[in-house]
Formats: sequence, C-alpha cells, structure tokens
Amino acid sequence: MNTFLAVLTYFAYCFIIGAYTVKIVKYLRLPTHLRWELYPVIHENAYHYGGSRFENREWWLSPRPRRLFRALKYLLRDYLYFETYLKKDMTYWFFLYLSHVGFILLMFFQGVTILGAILSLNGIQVDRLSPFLSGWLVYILMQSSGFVSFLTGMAGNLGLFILRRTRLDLRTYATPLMYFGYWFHILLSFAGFFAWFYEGYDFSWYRKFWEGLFTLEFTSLTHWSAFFVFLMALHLIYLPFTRAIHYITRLFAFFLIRWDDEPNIKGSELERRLTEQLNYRINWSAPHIITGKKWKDQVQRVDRS
Amino acid sequence: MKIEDLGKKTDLLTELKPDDLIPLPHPYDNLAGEPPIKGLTHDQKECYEASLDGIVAIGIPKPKGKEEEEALVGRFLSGLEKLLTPENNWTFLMPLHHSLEYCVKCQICNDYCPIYVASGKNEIYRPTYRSEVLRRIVDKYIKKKGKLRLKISGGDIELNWPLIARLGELAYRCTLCRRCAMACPLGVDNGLIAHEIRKIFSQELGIAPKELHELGTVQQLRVGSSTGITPKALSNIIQFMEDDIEEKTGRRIKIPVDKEGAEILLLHNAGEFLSWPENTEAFAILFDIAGIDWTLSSELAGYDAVNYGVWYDDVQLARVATRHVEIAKRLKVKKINVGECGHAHKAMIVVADRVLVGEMNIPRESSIPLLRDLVFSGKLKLNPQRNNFPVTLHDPCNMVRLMGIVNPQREILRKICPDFREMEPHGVDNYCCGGGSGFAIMQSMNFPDWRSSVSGRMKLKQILEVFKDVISPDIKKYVCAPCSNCKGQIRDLFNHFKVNERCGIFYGGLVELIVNALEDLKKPFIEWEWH
Repeated sequence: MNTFLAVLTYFAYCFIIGAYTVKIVKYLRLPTHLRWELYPVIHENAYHYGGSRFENREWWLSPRPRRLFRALKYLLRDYLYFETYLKKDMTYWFFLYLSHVGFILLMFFQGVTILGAILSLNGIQVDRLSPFLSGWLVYILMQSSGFVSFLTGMAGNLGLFILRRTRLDLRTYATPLMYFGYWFHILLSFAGFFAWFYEGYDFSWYRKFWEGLFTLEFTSLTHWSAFFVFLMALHLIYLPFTRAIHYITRLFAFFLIRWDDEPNIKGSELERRLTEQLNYRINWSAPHIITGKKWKDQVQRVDRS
Repeated sequence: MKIEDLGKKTDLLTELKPDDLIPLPHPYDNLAGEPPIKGLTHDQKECYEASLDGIVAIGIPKPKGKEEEEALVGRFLSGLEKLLTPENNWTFLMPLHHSLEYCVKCQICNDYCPIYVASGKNEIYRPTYRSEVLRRIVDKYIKKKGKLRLKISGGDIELNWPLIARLGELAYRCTLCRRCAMACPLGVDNGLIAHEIRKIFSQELGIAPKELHELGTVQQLRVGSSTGITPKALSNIIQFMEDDIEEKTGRRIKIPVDKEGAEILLLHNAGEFLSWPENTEAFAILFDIAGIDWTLSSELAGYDAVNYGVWYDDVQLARVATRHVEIAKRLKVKKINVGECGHAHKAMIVVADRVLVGEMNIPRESSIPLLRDLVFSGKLKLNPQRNNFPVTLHDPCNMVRLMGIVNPQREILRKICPDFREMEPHGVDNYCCGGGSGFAIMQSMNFPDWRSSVSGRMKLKQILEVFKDVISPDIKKYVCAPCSNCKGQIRDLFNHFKVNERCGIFYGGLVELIVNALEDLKKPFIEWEWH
C-alpha cells in the first residue's frame, strides 16, 4: 500500500507537469495572429478610460508603453477576489470564491508540505516548538492552509453544484465532467478533513509521507490519510482533463490577445514571423479563393466572386 | 432550449414575440404602437433557410435534396477543419483556440450583450449559445472524441443541414461588438467565434450576405466601391460637392484628387459621398481653412475606405487593405488618414497591420485626433453658440472599444457644443448601434426590421433616455455618430420608429458640428433636413 501510494504520487506529479507543459507549449506555438486587442489595454497611458495611442496624430512616433507591474496587479486583483463576478453575480461569486480559495490553498498546502519535508530532512525541526523560524512558519502555514482549504473546498463546490443544478442558464451548459469535478473536490476535501481530524492536526503524517518520497523510505499511512493521499494523486492526474489550467492560459489570453497591441514595425521580429506566415498555402475552397496559393499571392485575386 | 435543439427538424426554432422585447422609454412605452417585424412570404420561406427565428440575414438557398444537404454538411466540416489549422487560419487561430478551450460556462458575459438583453433573453441569442454549438461540433467531428468522452464532456451533438444553416444565420445575430468579450475574466471572446463561423461559410462554402461579399468586397475591388460608385461617378460627385460648398459657404474650394506627394490620403467610406455628402464637404472645408496638404484618390477602391472583409473573410480583408496601401504608395503620400468610418479605422489601422509587411507598411492614422488638433489649434474661428442644441455622442465600437479612440471626439464636443450630454453607458462600455459587423448595410428580406427592433433597441433606448428632458419634437436634438455604418443604422432605426418626427432627434457626423460652429459661416451648415 505504501509503495503503491508513493508510486501513484510520483506518477501524478510527473503526469500533471508533463500534461501542462504540453498544453502550454502547444498554446505558445500557435502562430502570431492578426491584432484583436480590446480596450482598455492595460499598458496604455490613458488606460483609466480605455484610451490608446491612436488618440494622437502620428502615434507611431511615440514608443509603445510597457507596464508589466500594472498588468500583474490587474490580474492578481482578479485572481484574489474575482472582481467581475463580485460586481455582476454575488451568489455565484460567493461559492466560486470559496471553491477557488479551496483549490489554491490545497495547492499551497502541497507546496508547504513539500517544503516542510525538505526542511525536516535538512535537520530543521518543523513543529509548533521549532527553534527555527522557517520550521515554525512552515508548520503554521501547513496547518492553516490545509484546514481552511478542506472547509472552503467542501462549501464552495457544494454551492456551485447546487447553483449549476438549479439555475437554468448554468444547467443548460453544464457537463457531467463539471458535476464530477465538484463532487471529486468535495470528496477530496472531506477525506483531508477527516485525515486532519483522526490522524493529527499538525499534518506531520503528510510531511513524513513526503520525506519518504524523497528518501525512498516510504512511510506507512492508514485509513483517512491513505485515502486522502490516494485522492490527491488522482486529483492531480484528473486536472489536465479539466479547464483548471485557465489559471495560466488566462495570462496568455490577456498578454497575447487582449492586450497585444504590438505594431508591425519594419525589420522587426514580428515582421519576420508575419512574412513567414504570409508564405503559408491556403486550402480554402470558396470560388473567390485560389486554393493552394500562398496568402501573399491571394491579394491579387479580384476577378471572381 | 437545449444546445442540440439547433439541429431539431422543425419549421421554426424560436419566434420573437413583441411582448418579450425590453420596453422602450416614452414616447415608445406602448408596445402596441411599435412597428412589427414583418413575416416572410410563402415564397421566401420556400426558397431560403429561415427556420432559426424566422429572420433572413444571409439568404442561404435551401438545398434541393438530401444529397446536396449532405455535401454541404461535408463542406462545412472540411471548412471547420481548415479553421483549426495554422496554414489556413494563422490569422485568428490563437484567439479561437483560447475561446474554444477555456470557457467555463459561467454565463457572466450574457448580460453584456445588447441583442440578448433586448430580445428579452432569447436563448439562441445568448453569446455562449453559438459558441457551445461550435465547440460540440469540434469535439465530436474534428477531435473525434468517442461516445463516452462526449457524454462526459457534454459534447454530443448531431450534425445535420438544418443545424448548419441555422448556425450560419446565428453568426449574423451578433454584431461583433465584443462587449461580451470585455466582460469575460478568462479572456474568452464569443464575438470572435461568430466571426470565425462566418469565415467557414464564406471561405469554404462561398456563402455570405451578398451586401458584404458580392456587392461588398468583390464589387469594391472590381468597380471601385461597394456603393457602386465608379471613378467617373466620383468625379461628378466631387463637382457637386464643390458647388454645394460654394452655395453653403460662399467659398469655392478645389477638392484635391490624385495629388501626388500630398501629406495625407484621406479615405472616406463611399457611403458618405452618396448619403451624407455634407460630411465629406465638411472635411474639405476644414482642411482648406487649415491649409492641410491632402488628397482624395479616384483609383478603383481608393475612394472607398470600407473593408467588409474584417467581418466575414480574412482573404478579402487582406485584398482590400492591400489595394488601399498600393494606391497610397502610387500617390506617394506620407500617410493614410481614415475619415469617419469605424470599421475602416479598425481594419486599416489595426487588423490589417499584420498583413502589411515590408514596403506595404505605410503610416495610417485616424482623422479624429487631427480634427481635435484643428479645433484646438486656433486656426478655426469657432462659436459654440451655433451648436446650442442638445447633442449626444454615439461611440462606434470599432473606434472605441476595439481601438481606444475615446477622448478626442469628446474634447471637440465639449468645446463646441454647450449642451453636450453623455449616454449611459458610454466610451468603451458603449452599446453597439445595432448595425455593426455589416448589419447596417444588410437589407435582406425582413432582416432590417429585426435590426431595428432587436439589435438597435438598446441604442434607441439610450438615445431616448439621454434626451428624456427635451423629448418634445419641437426641440431639435443631434446624435453625433462619427461612423458611416452607425449613421446608416441610426437612420434606419429612426425611420422604423419615426424618431425624427416624434421626438425631433436628428443624427450626423462629428465634422459637420465643427463646420456648423464656424463663426464666419453665413447660414448654419446643419440643415436639419431628414433624408
């Protein structure tokens, strides 16, 4: 059992890292698209009312503004309290927020537990009485993030499930996978909560499990803690099949599409990529298109409708 | 209504009932007095696909038999497959991939759609509806997910000709205003999906509204303009404009045409020459006073800034943009300046930026900042009291939300119109006029009625609300719409509801208000004549 859980956990982490990497690389390798930005564009000087450089004559003479900090602040603000939902749909926001807090804290809990294991393996005591600040802090963070994530995960996902079933606009578009996702997270949180309750409030069992994963001396887990570790691994394997990666792709959507106002400047890297893409051959079959010719050669075709 | 119902074998999937539409303010608060959406004739129903909502935007001829239906379904799928390849759709593949893959179906975007809201929240107009249909087709027929995976991911859908024909029509129930996209916290763009569906129909099946394709981009490239104006006709129009300017201002102005080496090539939407020549005349008057070195072009397509390709076909978009730039290069002008036309702004300055490489990439800018700088330059003697009537501003989506030109037009209006008032919401949060993405020029069967009753309803509501304290027809009021297509839509909307007659509201461009404010003009430039 111990070996099985260990191998499953190794596999789960490798799988999620691999699957997410493939998804991200696939996304980033998509070709440069035509400009399709939507204002307000975050780095613009007149961002506060949605203005752009096009409000000035000879706009190309002024440099394209860059404001990474403002962009990150904007995205972080939405990550932290989901402003759009808060303004528009308070009930949905409430449960969505709880479920996301549950998910983020669950991932954070994994991170601090792994950190705790590393510290412990390096001789740093990780508990309430630790003489090391790092050991004490990791202990506190593990305890609080684990506990809160289980409670919010249960409440948030249950609330979302009820909303999805009872509101027609949400139900029409809901899928069995969504319902499965809610219940999976509820079950996982439930298992975590009981493991915390029965196996130890300090999660030392989980930290020791991770120490075993590093040293290949797998520790013994029982009942709820084994069930939690099992579900946690399955959850990681399950995530790439969901839209949970929107935490990351959302960044791409904003930086590479919605705020992408990079002008095509002569001699630039962008122009080089576009020139290459204009050499792609088109296979569209409508009568006004010359099937098989390159994009750049299509522009001369005007004699047929 | 379920997603899969779009393929249901029925004569009419949904019917728009007048009582479902959102109410309008006074004096339109009595729905009984509202002009109805005309039903289709028996022949129209027999000949064209109209089973979505009883409205015909494209006019897809009904297939003659099962075989033809199956062939069309096959071609649709072939187009969809191409839409998802970099070679055929590098132009929009990344935004499309994102919108297909990462919508969490939270429905937060729905209430941002003026058509969905104005219709009384008819399910088929929900921004996510058509996207979900396309997503399911992709899952089943392109990704070829098995039965179990489809069941789990909720992606099962049966493809048949009624579904495809309705999906094509449904792509023309969205004005591509992208207000829904602005609302999405995850960056999903349902407007883009409507755009991409249009592309499958045009680029693969050769199906598009004739006003956009045959009479639009094709005619523009072949004859010179989507309006049908030929270079010879243009010459007569310019002569007329010069005479008209002389009559109105007492000044004889020579409008420069094909002037080599001019600083600016001014591109007008040719609709202005035909329907609103006062707009192009006003530009000529102001440029003449300010001593601007400019020219018009009389080359084929060089006198028509429109680029309908931006709404339905990337190849046509590239062709028209390239033609415009070739003309500018032949004239050796320093830059292209786009007149009061929203989509031409967006197409020429922004979207086409990434198809114009090397020497084709010449500077292109909007006329609005130039007008702002002129108004504040001191070169024009302006008397705001000449515009002492209530004025509101309509924000064209292409110019504002999709391009960020928000403030210059407001600076002008604040300076020259003492009773300027903002609609709510405005700026990047504006509502589309209801004529966006080609709707304003599409005159198919009963589509104009739908356009006025449904897609333009929110705009009418806003206009009536902003003028509610001066709604009497005795008080002249002006909706400033610095965009030809928006003006076309507002004209039709006002005609449909008899707004000019019942409320005394007139519409026009921005530049007309500037000329109207000129101190030394003997008579007002704005004539308040409804046409």
